[in-house]
Amino acid sequence: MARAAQIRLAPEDVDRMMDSINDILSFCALVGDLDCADTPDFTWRMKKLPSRRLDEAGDWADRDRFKSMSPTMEGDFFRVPRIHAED
Amino acid sequence: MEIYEMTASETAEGIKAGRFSAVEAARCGLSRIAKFDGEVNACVTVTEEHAIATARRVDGMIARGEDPGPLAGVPYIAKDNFCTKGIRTTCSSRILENWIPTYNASAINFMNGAGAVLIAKSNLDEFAMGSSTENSIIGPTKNPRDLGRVPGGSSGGSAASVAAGYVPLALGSDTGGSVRQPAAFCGIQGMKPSYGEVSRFGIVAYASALDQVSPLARTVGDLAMALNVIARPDPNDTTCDAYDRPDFAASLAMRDLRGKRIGVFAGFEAEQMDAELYGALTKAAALCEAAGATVEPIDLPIAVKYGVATYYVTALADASSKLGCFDGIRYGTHIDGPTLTDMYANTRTASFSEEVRRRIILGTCLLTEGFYQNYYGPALKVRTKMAMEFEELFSRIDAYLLPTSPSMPYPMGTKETDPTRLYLGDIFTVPISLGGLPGINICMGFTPDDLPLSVQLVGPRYGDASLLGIAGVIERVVGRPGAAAPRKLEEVR
Repeated sequence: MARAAQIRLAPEDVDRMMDSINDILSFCALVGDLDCADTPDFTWRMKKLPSRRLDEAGDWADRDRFKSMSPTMEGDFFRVPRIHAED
Repeated sequence: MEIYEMTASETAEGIKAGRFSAVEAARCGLSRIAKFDGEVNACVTVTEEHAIATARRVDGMIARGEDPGPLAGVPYIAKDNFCTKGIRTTCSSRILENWIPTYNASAINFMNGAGAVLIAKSNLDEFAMGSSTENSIIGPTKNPRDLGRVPGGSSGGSAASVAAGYVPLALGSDTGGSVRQPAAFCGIQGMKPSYGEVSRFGIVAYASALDQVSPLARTVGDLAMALNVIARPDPNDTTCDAYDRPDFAASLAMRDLRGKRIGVFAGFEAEQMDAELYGALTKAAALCEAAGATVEPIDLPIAVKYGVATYYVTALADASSKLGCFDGIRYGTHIDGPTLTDMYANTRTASFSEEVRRRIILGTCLLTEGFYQNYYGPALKVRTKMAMEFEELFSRIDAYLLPTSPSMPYPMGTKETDPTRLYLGDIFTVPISLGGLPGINICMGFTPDDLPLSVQLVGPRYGDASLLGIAGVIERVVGRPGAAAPRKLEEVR
């Protein structure tokens, strides 16, 4: 699960983390105890649905500043490391 | 009366009447921060330059005879998970420690448009995950009422800022009690509006199915004033309702509670919570009755028994998905690795605290085959059952009184290490969030040690205006204790 969440656990942390997660899961299993036959999934009801805003391209004065915050640049592009599966 | 002792409405009135300027009000807040925040540690970033420039603009408008808006020159502080253009927004996390947004959250735009002046960004539990504001990149925030105790969380920095007199008004976000509980711990008023009432655009999400922008203040009147400014349709947030809001402040004209039916929580034994808080609940019920309301004890069996479990399944699944965007590429901290997946894992492992890592792993788990069917699916149905329970409740009553927290503010560093028991501290706030209901923390007074005693008043969804009216009556009867300055803070200096 940690791998799926893109998080590493140090060997000395594994047992402690597993114990606390298992405790929480045991507690949360309570949600299966209530008889919910024929009960629909929860959804929000609204008084009035909002109108969608138009998706319009516009000038963006902050482009260069935003780019300057990227971890690594290569020319005009963000650089990301190689994808393992393609190696 | 000093400026820092004024409410937001008194501050705006004083500035508009020319008794003092917006710059003076901003400098007053900034000087309180300079004087006390070394101890309290409520602020992540102080925006002095921005604040003075904005205050000068407000003063200029007044000088030209223009109306800067209902919050003219009122200094405010926003939790550091609100995006602020050109001002760093850290979420109190290493992964965003130097992130500067290129846009404002809608709530920030609405506040600024009403003439309010942002003077600082406040501390929180990392990504709003916590109830004590101890889990932050800048260290813990202390409770201004007792510097040895926590201010609650996750909006502990915002609550402490209001209680310490930095500002009369602050913004926080409430997912499962993150504004109501710190308001209770710091002895002020805090309101989570109905889900859909306020736009969440530009708030760094913890759990979008629950997050709500929520104001904190010293009086119910200021909460209503803030809601009049921030509760409005917003095309940038499809979960923000487009209906025409009522005038929330108008409901404060309510003089008594004649004809009102108030339910009082009856499903918890007195010995299961701190005796002082049980006493505050009993006192609030008696005051409502004396003000003319019909009061009856009512149990909430589904919400109380299943609320915490349902909340954590829903919120953590949501959080694991929302925090997936923090990968070292798009925002902030980046720790390289030989492959893309190594880089993701290196960055996320080094940049998230243990509590955030635990919640992300757990949320990821809850969305996988098997766990989804046994946890997430049932939680969605239990939530419907809870909504039905609330619907039935509010077909009989106008408002419901219950505790905000089962415990008083606890000493710093003594937080429960067992996460399950820690999460039970949210037992009275999370059901209200799951139902999308409005809830207000009302300060009822203080113990002889100046520790606050509070109750929570809850109403039907979209019943925010009427709820504010009832809360206003209770506040008047108890004598506005939330406006009292912390006694021990001045002694510390």
